[in-house]
Amino acid sequence: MDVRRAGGARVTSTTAHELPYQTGGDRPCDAPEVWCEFTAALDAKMHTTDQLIARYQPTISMAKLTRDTDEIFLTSTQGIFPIRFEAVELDTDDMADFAVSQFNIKPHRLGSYYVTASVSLASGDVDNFEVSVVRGPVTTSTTSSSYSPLATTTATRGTYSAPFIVRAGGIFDWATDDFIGFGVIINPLDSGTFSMQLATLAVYWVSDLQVNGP
Amino acid sequence: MILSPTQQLPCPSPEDYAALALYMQRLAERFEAKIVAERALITDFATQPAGLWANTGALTASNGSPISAIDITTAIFTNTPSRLFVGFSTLPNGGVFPEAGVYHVGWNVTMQELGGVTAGSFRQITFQIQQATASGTPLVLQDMSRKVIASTLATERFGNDGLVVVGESTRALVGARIEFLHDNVASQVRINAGNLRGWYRRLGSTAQIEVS
Repeated sequence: MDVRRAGGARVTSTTAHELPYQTGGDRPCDAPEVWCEFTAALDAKMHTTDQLIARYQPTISMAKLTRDTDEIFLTSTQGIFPIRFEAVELDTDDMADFAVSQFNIKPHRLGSYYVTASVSLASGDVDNFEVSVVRGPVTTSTTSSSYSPLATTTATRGTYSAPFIVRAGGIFDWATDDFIGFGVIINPLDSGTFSMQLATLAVYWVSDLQVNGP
Repeated sequence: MILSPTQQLPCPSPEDYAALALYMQRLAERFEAKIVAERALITDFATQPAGLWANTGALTASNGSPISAIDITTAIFTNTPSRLFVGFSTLPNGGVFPEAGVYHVGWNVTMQELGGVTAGSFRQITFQIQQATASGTPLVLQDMSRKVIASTLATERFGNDGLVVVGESTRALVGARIEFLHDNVASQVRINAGNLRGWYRRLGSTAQIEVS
């Protein structure tokens, strides 16, 4: 590809990345200038690559929240129970901010993320419930109509003794910063009370959203 | 000589055009060193320690009688030689995890009743990544246990996973605690060889990302 400089001389460049190079028709004394344009262009391209590699090495975006103190839920007063986490065990990319919310992990980079949640419920009248990973408005005022589950456990039903230990997870896209964050909710399917013993929510980056070329 | 702003690539000053051969050599050497370094970083990232192991022998449990201290030592795949997915009793030198960092760890199981199925009975796998402590009470780094109700098909398949942070100074003390328990009165329940599988993959270090 040829482009014309302000002074009228032509500079030939590679097609994809527009790296300038000297051709046989150029004057020998033009070489230093073309050379410096080449190294400047190369410098910019390599800097972008360095930034990308630096994100992977030594690590990727990851966060893990935990809760290990009991919390009693009364299903007669609230239908959906968002889990309020207590501790940030891991966060490599400032995705967990308890000053803003104790319910969510919010990625800063668009991409696909692996999300996994595990919940243990102790004694209670409820032995029939679902746990969902959600991406959206997870707050204390969450209702059944204000969330859209990404992954939900099979409803646990039975008479076996507590604890009831369930998990939900999968790979989900984070396509816009408008989402509030990845969170976890418990949806009791029977009325009564129950106590949550342990909950964890972990998120890590898997890939960018862009489609790979051929 | 002029150097580019971030990569320090050399280019000649206008009066140096007679020395282009020397500049080309310097640029080539500089560029080669950069490519070698970047390739090493990418290769390191793309070949994180990973492995998949399974139980070697069948595990048959009676109602209410747990099978404890299960080791899963048959390697189906691993790029970290000499590693086993084991508990403290057989913890190898250096621990289960080959280096410090954050690991995605998980397991899955298929189990079958040898006879009848008791309605409402449970099947439980306790699967914890633990770290030995001086007090003797292990520290649970990640509890991935699961407890499910038995289906009427007399075969249960389930699993769990989570993230585990392994420190460099404590890595040699980290192992897995695996137990199998059920309350199926009607018959024993068996996990055949190869049907209890544990796996991990290192995701990276706990270092904070600083680039945008």
